[in-house]
Amino acid sequence: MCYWSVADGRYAQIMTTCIMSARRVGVSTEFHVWTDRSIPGAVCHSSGSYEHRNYLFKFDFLLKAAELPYEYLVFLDADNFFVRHPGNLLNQTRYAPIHVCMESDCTQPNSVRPDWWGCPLSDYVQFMRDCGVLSRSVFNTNAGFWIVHRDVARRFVDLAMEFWEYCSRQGFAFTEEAPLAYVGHLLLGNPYAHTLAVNQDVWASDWTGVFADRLPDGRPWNFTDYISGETIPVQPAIVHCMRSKKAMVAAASPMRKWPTY
Amino acid sequence: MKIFFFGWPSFYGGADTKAAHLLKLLAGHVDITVVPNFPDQLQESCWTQKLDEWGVNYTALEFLPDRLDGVALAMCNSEFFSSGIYSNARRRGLRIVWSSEMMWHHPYEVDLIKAGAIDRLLYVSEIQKKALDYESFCDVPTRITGNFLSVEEFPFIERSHDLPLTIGRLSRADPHKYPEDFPVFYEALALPDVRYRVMAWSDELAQKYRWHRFDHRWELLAPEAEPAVEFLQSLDLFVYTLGHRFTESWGRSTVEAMLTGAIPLVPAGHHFASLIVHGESGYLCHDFLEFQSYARQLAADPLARQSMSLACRRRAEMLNDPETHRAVWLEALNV
Repeated sequence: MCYWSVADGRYAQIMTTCIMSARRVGVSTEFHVWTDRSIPGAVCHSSGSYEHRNYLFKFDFLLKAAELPYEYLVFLDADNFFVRHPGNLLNQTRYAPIHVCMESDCTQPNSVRPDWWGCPLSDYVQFMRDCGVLSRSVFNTNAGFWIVHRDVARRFVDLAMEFWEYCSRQGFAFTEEAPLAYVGHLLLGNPYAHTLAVNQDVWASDWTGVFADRLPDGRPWNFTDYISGETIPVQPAIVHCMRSKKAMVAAASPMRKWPTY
Repeated sequence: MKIFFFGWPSFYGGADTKAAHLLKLLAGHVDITVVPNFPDQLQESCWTQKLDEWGVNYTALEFLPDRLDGVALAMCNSEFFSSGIYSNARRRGLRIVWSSEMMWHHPYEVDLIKAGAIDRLLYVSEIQKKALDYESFCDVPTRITGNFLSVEEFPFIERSHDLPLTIGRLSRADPHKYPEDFPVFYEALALPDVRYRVMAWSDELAQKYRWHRFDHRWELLAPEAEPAVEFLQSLDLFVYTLGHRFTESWGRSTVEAMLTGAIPLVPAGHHFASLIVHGESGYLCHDFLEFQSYARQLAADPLARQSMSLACRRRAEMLNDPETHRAVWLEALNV
């Protein structure tokens, strides 16, 4: 397996910190990054110019990553930070060809939000049903971390874009997250084995900013479910610290002092 | 009544196996002549012997008399339209009865129906009727004729409790019939001491699931690697998940499985609620967790499995009363 990402401009600096954090906890796996500059510790590939809108470029670059000589491709957004070694990440797949974190159940009546990416939850669920998702629970996801077996990459992208285009025709131009969740429902076998609650020791997204403007310190924290508002304690090895981008940029400086844990 | 059946029976695929059982059902009650698409099919002695046994005639299209009186029946036979067989039949004076069997229209089907080439249209189920919806574009009379299985072709056998639990499926090797996560879905059921048997497997399916490592628990059999009945008799549970874009118009292999005593676990929807009494003769599952829960209950309780296996047989027998089916067909073919 290898890690891969797409990071240009400021995100290249953030990616530098991501890779440094991985090396610091003993991760030796290669990082392949499609970028517009050199990133220390990464095998860099020219990203060229590409369309950033809706982050759908991740699917295009997945097909490039699938040409690398690795069986499993672990995508990480640049703003991920390793606080300890995550162990064998392929355990996350549970023999499925992919892993997507099934985060919030959008069918639950106790939602504190009416929508996801501006789409009413009931519509989102219906779009999933329209496109063949049968499970009682319909999850959303955060696209900061996912795993794909290279032999399913083409199918993965085709399914993702089928769903994206279907939703677009209904008037909702999602980011990459909704199609990613859709593909998860179709390819995971048991989607309930891929929920955040089950896998919280590996990866979670700090979308509420528990670590806002600082680097995660490895201690447990409370993850707030985006849809239900409920909290669960998490202690992931990899923190998607999406509210810590400034701190990650600063940490890319060799002079920066990193937290100890 | 004289019936000219345009097509040829087979041991493989829903429509052609249906043809074999239908011919047997109607033999002796109407005069039947089978006309294959390709004359060399008349050399298949396994079928000609059965047709002889049933008193069914067979001949090549070119040897049919110029003038005929009766009904031409074609089921899921694309050649019937694309090769112009229908016009040949019509020119000879036959009334045309067509059954798509699929959830989609065959090439030329709609145009020919609109042009008045068909005298009666058959549906296999309500769900297929909803999909094909002939009534929306023509006034050709329709009937729902369903599906008949000759129950003696699929004898029940009591499963051994000493062997590993075996789950599996039988269907055409159509990648659309298989869900994207097929092998991992089976394995994620996490049944103890289990074997997986699948027929009919193909290179195309192997390519679709090339990301999966099929271990020693799996047996992936080519089409007709075993007689269907023996294959189904080897299964304890018939776990029949389907592709996310695929709708099963009826579910023939499911009922075949039930006749042999295999317990079906199928997705809710499709036509399955008409075939299975949930909780009595199998399970209609809305979710992976339901599949898992029912499969584990059955795996853990051999007596419950045995009891439901018998109930499956009884249910499938009830669905296949020959008198009832024959009456439906004779009315439908009385054009």
